[in-house]
Amino acid sequence: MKSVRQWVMCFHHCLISLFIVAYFSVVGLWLWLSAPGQLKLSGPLAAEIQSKLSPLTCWTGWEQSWSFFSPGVNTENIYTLLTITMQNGLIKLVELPRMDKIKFPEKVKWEKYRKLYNDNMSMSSFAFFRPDVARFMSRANNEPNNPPVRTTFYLATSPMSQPPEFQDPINSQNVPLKHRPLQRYFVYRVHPDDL
Amino acid sequence: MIYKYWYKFWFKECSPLPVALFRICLGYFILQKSLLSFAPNFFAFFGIKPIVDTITLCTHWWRYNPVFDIFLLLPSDNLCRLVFFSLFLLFVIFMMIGFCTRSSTIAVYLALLSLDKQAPFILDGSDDFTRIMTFLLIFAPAGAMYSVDAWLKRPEERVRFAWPWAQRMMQVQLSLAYFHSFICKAIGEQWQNGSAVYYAAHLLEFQKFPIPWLTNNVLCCRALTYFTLSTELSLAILIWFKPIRYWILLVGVMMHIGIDWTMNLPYFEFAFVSCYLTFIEPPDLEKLINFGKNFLRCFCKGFDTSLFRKLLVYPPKKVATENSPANASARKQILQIIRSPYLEFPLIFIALAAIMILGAIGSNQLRYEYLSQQNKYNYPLQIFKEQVIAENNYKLNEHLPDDDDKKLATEETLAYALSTNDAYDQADQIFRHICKLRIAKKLPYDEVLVKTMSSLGDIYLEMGRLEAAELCYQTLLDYNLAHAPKSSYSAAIDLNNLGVISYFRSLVSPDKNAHYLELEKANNLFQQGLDKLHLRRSAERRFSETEEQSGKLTTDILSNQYLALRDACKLQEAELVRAKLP
Repeated sequence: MKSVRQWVMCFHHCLISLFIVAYFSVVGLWLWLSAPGQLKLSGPLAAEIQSKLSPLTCWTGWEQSWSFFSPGVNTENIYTLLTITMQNGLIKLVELPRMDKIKFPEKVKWEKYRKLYNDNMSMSSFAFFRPDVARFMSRANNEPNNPPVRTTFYLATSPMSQPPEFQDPINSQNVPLKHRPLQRYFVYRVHPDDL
Repeated sequence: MIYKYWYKFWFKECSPLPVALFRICLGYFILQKSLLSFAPNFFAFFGIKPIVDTITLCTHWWRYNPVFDIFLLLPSDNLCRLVFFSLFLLFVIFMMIGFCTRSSTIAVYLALLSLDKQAPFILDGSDDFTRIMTFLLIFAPAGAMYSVDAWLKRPEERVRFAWPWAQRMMQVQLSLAYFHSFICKAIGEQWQNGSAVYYAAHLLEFQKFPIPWLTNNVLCCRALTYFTLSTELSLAILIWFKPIRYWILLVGVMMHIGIDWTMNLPYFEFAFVSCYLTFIEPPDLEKLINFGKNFLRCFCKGFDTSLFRKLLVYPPKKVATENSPANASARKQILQIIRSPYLEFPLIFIALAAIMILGAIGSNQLRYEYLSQQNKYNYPLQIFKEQVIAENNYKLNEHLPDDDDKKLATEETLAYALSTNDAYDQADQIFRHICKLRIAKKLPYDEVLVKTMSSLGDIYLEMGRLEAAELCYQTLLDYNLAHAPKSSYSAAIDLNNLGVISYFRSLVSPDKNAHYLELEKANNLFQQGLDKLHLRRSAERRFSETEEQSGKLTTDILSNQYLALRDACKLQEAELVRAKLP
């Protein structure tokens, strides 16, 4: 019985070891694929690996990325501003949460909205979410006799004051504001079905 | 040799105390996040009509990947989803207190996976961290100590030692996270030249309790930048050297406390710091716990100095050995082997995999239905089709005279479709052409001209041509006042739109003086619009329908005015305006 027990324990050691190796192989490759810049695994091999790993990581939830504030930090303060044009021609300004104008206890509640509207919406990888967000905002601002007809998303930027030691003379961040208008990044035409 | 070290690292038995404490911290953290972040916004993110529809997620995010999402298996009803969320909170509490720990951890993991799949657009590092750590906690003996499960067991049945492989996985995962973070940062120019902390500290959306004297100092920012990089590298590599481990952990805690104080990253720092418990040796944890217990006893009993002397001299617990009956029958021994807590892994793995496979299969039919509708929800394709239809309609009416109403209507539809497809220059030309033709008609009051001119103003606003947009709305205002003096609604709308132009101009102003001047102008224009509406309401108070219309219009203009006043730092006036809003 002792030898049977040993065999069973050894078998379990092997199973668990296989699981450990498999898990960290998947996670390690995934992190390598999601690294920024030159570090990223690229080429046809990378595409092949990604196509094999995506189903597994999507199913198990093992996908992860720890590249916060990497490789650089934004040098401008940004927030998303909406204009909703109503049927009667009125333009309504809708400011998606500006965390600098919200008091601390409420910031916890609005943090997820900040993540959606300020971080993700302006990124091209989340572009397919924009029509849904536009529809949601249109429904939220709908009036029965005066429905919205058009929703436009703008990215409002304000540069930070930079100490001379950190200023890059070649960088376009030093271009005066008037040459960088409010950046429109999405326009949505609202249909009656959306409301 | 390698096998020896491998066995020693992953399978040498030790006390499950670190994972038990980590279980409590993780449970608390998940509960806090769910109650403070998810619960207030539950229906916006997870309801049947959320911000981002499940069809969009299916067609653009998950695509053909297998997905486990409990929401796909639930009926399409907000109440069901609310019940699911309540059950999730209950299981989180069970996990935290250690009641049916394994089952409740599995339930929490599956629920977290579903919540994350349903709203990937709001996820950050803390969500990834909790999900992954909950997954690893399933395989750990997290309910062996400081849990209801342990309390319910007889003393001889309690697990005092277990294989620590799941705990080691958590440690390696944490190190991997820090290593990835370090590598991603180290290649960045800002992290190399030491300016990263300066910019991070000046991001207004993340500021919590800023420390200006520190973050405005270039030398301090440089030092903090390199400190962050070195701490992350240490937490990835040096933490594995036992003599300096606790110092590294202390530095890590200091770094996270500093970040949590200055930046609004809810839960993120606490989640990472709580995982440090897995790196503390069980005897040291025992000492800490006993120190805390004795401190509380001292505190309650008064300052009894004799108790203080005992604080740091705590006798080590006797090492308990696993009971192994010598003369049990073969069948009993085999059953004992199977039921041993050491050997639960295959059963748990198979059970979890089975649930997830069945869940993914169960939602397949619904997902295929959603995927079959992907063209219907393809917005770029939709607006392109609209443009093609508008162009065809225009070609059909091309033979009509230029000033024919039907032809002008099709031109306007085409211009609108072009502007939606980012062809603003073409849309601008068509709208101006229509306006010229309609002006030439010299009608007493042309509503179509007003609408076209308004659309032209909108196009100029979107193009960023604020002067042209201002000219359009000013022309409209003069036209409305001249030809329809009683129509205060139109004048109020034009004044509001002029105010919006000024607000936009304030956002792109080159200096602060111009910024505040434009905001003042915007506020005045909004106020003029409100005054027009107020006069209208006073004059025609008996018409309830018009009153409702003007009420809605008032609300819209007031909300615009609030933004202008708040940005102009006129907070008292802004609060007065906000109080008038419903």
